[in-house]
Amino acid sequence: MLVDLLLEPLRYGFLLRGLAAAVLIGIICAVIGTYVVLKGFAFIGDALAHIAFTGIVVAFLAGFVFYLGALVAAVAAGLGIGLIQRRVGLRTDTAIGILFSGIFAFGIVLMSVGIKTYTVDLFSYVFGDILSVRPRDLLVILGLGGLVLLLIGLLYKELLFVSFDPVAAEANGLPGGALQLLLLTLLSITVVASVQAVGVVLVVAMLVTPSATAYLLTDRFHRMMLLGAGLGALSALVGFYLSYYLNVPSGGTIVLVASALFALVALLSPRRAQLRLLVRG
Amino acid sequence: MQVQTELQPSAVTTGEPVIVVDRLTTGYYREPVLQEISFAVPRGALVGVIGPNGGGKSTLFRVIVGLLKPWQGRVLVGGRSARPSPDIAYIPQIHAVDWAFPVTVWDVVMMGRYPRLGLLRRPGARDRELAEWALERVRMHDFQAKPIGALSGGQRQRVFLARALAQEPSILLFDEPVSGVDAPTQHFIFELLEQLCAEGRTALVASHDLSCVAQRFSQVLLLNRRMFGFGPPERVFTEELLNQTFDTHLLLLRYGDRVIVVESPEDGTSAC
Amino acid sequence: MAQGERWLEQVRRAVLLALVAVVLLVACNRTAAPPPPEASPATTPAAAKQVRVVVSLPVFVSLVEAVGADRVRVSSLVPAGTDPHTYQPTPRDAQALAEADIVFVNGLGLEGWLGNLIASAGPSARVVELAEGLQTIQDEQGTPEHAHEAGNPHLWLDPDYAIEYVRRIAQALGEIDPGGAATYQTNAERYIAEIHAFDAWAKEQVQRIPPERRKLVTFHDAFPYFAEHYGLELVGVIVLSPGREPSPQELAQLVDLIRQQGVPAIFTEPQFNPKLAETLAREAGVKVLELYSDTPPAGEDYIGMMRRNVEHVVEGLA
Repeated sequence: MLVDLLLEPLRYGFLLRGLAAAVLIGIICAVIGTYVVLKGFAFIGDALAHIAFTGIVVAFLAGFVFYLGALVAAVAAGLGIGLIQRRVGLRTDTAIGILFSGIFAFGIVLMSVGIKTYTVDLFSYVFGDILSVRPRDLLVILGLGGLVLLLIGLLYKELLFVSFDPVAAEANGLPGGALQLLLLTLLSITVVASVQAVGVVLVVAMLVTPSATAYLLTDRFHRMMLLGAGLGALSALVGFYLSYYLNVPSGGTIVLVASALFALVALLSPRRAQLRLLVRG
Repeated sequence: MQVQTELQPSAVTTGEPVIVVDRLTTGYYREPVLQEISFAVPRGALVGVIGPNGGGKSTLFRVIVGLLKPWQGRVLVGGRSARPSPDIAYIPQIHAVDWAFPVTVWDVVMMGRYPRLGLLRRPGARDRELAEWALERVRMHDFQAKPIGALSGGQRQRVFLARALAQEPSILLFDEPVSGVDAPTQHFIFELLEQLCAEGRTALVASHDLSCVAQRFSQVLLLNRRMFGFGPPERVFTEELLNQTFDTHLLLLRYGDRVIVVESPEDGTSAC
Repeated sequence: MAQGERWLEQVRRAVLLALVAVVLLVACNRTAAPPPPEASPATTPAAAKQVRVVVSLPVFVSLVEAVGADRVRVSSLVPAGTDPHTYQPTPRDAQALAEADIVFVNGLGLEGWLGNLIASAGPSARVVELAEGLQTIQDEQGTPEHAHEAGNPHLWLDPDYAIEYVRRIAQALGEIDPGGAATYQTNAERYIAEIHAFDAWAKEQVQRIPPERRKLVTFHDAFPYFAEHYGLELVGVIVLSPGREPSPQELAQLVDLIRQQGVPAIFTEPQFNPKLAETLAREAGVKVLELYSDTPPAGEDYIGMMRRNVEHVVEGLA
C-alpha cells in the first residue's frame, strides 16, 4: 500500500527526474551550505543566484548555452566577492549588495532593451521549476554536483582549517586565499546547478536551512555536513511527495518541509538552540 | 590602582639567531604600521613583545610568518626570507576565531597536523600520537571530546597552544596569551613556554599587559610602531623607555633585584 | 578555426549589446520623466495632425491601424512579445498615456497593472475597454487565485469578437475625430470583410482535422474563444495563470489526459519558457507547436497572426 503510494508519481518520467534533481540538489546544497552557515555566506549565495540571471541574459543575447553564461557570471562574481573580502576596510555585505543588485538590474534592463522580438521569459530560467527538469539538466546537476562533492571531499581538512582559523591556516603554510576562493567558486557552481531547478529564493533556503538544522544537532563538523545532506535529501523527498498528494507546487513544499524540520529541532532542543544563538550573537 | 611588576634576570640564551629583523618597515595599504625595526632573536629565547594596543605587535608577527611582506628591510627566519611554513606556529588571539564552530578540542589540535600532512593525506597513527602528547602537555587530555564552545578562555588558550605543539614547530608566535585568562593559567602557560624554550624552541609572546608576565622573558622588545628598546628585561624595563613606549607615566621602584612598576591611577591596567 | 571565429563573434556581439544597453539607458533617462499633463503642450489635441492612439497590447495595434490608416499614430504599451499578465510598465508608458488622444485596452482584468498607471499618468484621453459588456466564458477551473475573475479576457482570438473590437474602434475614433468618421467606417467595413474571408478559409482548414483529433492543450488559458469558434475541444492548459507554478499532480493528470484523449500535439506561446511544455510533450510523446495570442509574429497583422495559429493547429492535430 505504502509502496504503491510511493511508486505512483514515479510512473511519470518527468516526476522521477524532478525527484532525482530535488534530492541531488538537497544534498549538494547542504554540503556546501555547511560552510555557508558557519561563515555567514547566505547573502553571497543570494547574490550569486541573482548574478547568474544576468549571465543567462547575456548568454541568450550572445547565443551561448544558458548554463555557460550563468556559470561564468556566477564564478566571476564569486571570485570578485572573494577579492573584496580580502580587502580590509570595506564592509563586505555592503559591497556585495551594491555589486549584485547593480549586476542584476543590468540584467533586467539588458533583457528589455536587448530583446525586441519575442521575449522568451528569461525570468523563468531563474525562478526555475523542478518539474521541467530535462534529462540534460539532470546530467548537468549530476556533473557539477559531483565535481563540488569531489573537491570538498579531497580538500576536506584544508577547507576545515581555513574556515575555522584562516589566519593560522595560512601562517602554517596552507594556501588560505586560494582555498577561500575555491570555496566561493564551489558555491557559485552549486547555485548555478540548482537555480534552474529550484529558483533563486529556494536555492538560498536549500543552502541554509538543512545545514542550520544540522548545526543544532551536532558538535562535529563532518557530522553537520552529513546530517545536513541527509536533511536536505529528506526535505526534498518528503516535500516532493507531499506536493504531489496535496496538489501544490513542489519547490515551495520542499522548502516548507526543510523549514518545518528546522523549527521542530529548534523547539525540541530549546536549551541548545538558545545557547547557540547566544554564542553567535 | 597600583600595579606591580617584578622583573627577574632570566637565563642567558646562546647560539645563532633564528629570527633576524633588519630595518623593517611595513604596514597596510599606504599606512606604515612598523618603521625601522631591527633585532635578532637567538635560538631558545623567550621574547616578550611589549607595547600598547595598535602598536604593531600582531603586524610584526604577520611579517615573521610571511603573511605580510616588508616594504623595506628584510626578515630572515632560519636564514631564509620569512614565508608561511608549518615550522612556525602562529597562535592568534582567541577572539580571532569563531568559537561556535562545530569542532571539538581534538579536532582543533589535529588541525595542527594538517599542513604537515599535505594534500589528500589523512591523519595517521603518528599524527594522533602527537595530538595526544600535545594535549597532555597543556593538561587538556580529559577535554578532548568537548566542543570548543564549552571551554573557558584559559582552556581555549591551552587548546590553541596544543595545536601549535602538535605542529612540531621550532618557533612559536603567541598573540596576547594572557588577555582574559585567569592567573593560574597565565602561570601555567609561561611555565610551559619556559620548558619549550629550554628544549631549544624559540617563542615570541605579544602582550600589552605589563603587570604579570614581564619577569618571565629572556628578552623584551618594546614596540609602538617604532622600536623603543630590545634586550634583557633588566636593561630594557626602564622608566624612560616604558613611558616612551606606552606614552604614559609609569614609576619604577627598584626593590633589591626586583622592580615594581607603579602606574598612574587613571590608567586602567588590571592587577594580578 | 571557424568555431573560434564564431566564438569571437559571439563575444563581440555580447560586448556590443552591453554597450548599446548602456547608451540606450542614458538616452531613456533623458526622456523618461513624464511631464505633468497640464504643463505639456502635447496634450492639446490641436497640436498634432494625427490622432495619437495608445493600445495596451501589440495585437490591437494592427486593428487600430486597419481602421485609422494614416489618420492615426498607434503605439502599444506592452512591447512585442512580452507577457501582458506580468508586464512592468516603464516611465515612457506613463508619458505615452499622458499624451494620448485615446486609449484602447482589452479590460476584464487582463492588464491588471494598467489601472495604477492610468491613475498616475492621468490621461485626459478617453479610455475604451474593447471587451466591455461582451459575453465571456467563465474559466472552468474557477480557482479564486486566477487572474481573470471577470471571465476569460482573450476574446479577440475569436474572429467574431475581433469584428466587434473593430467596430468599437471605428466608433470611438469617429467620436474624437469627427472629420475622419466616414473614413473609419469604410476602413472598418473593409477589414471586417477581410476577417470574414479569413474565417471562411480557417473553418475549411479545420475541417481537415479528423473530428476525434480536434483537441487543444495550450500553455495558458488564452484560447477558449478560439477553440469554441472553430469547434475544438479545450482539453487542458499547462499553467492555470502565468507565474503560478503548477503542482506535480496537475501535470501528471494533464499527461494522463493527453494520453487518454489522444491529443496529438500541445501548444506553447513564444513569450513563455518552453521547458515545461517540452517536458510534458516528451512525457506524453506528442509534438510541441507555437500559438500567438498577444503579439502577432514580426511583420504580421491580426489576420496574419490568426492565419499562423490556424496553420499550426492544423499542422499539429491533423
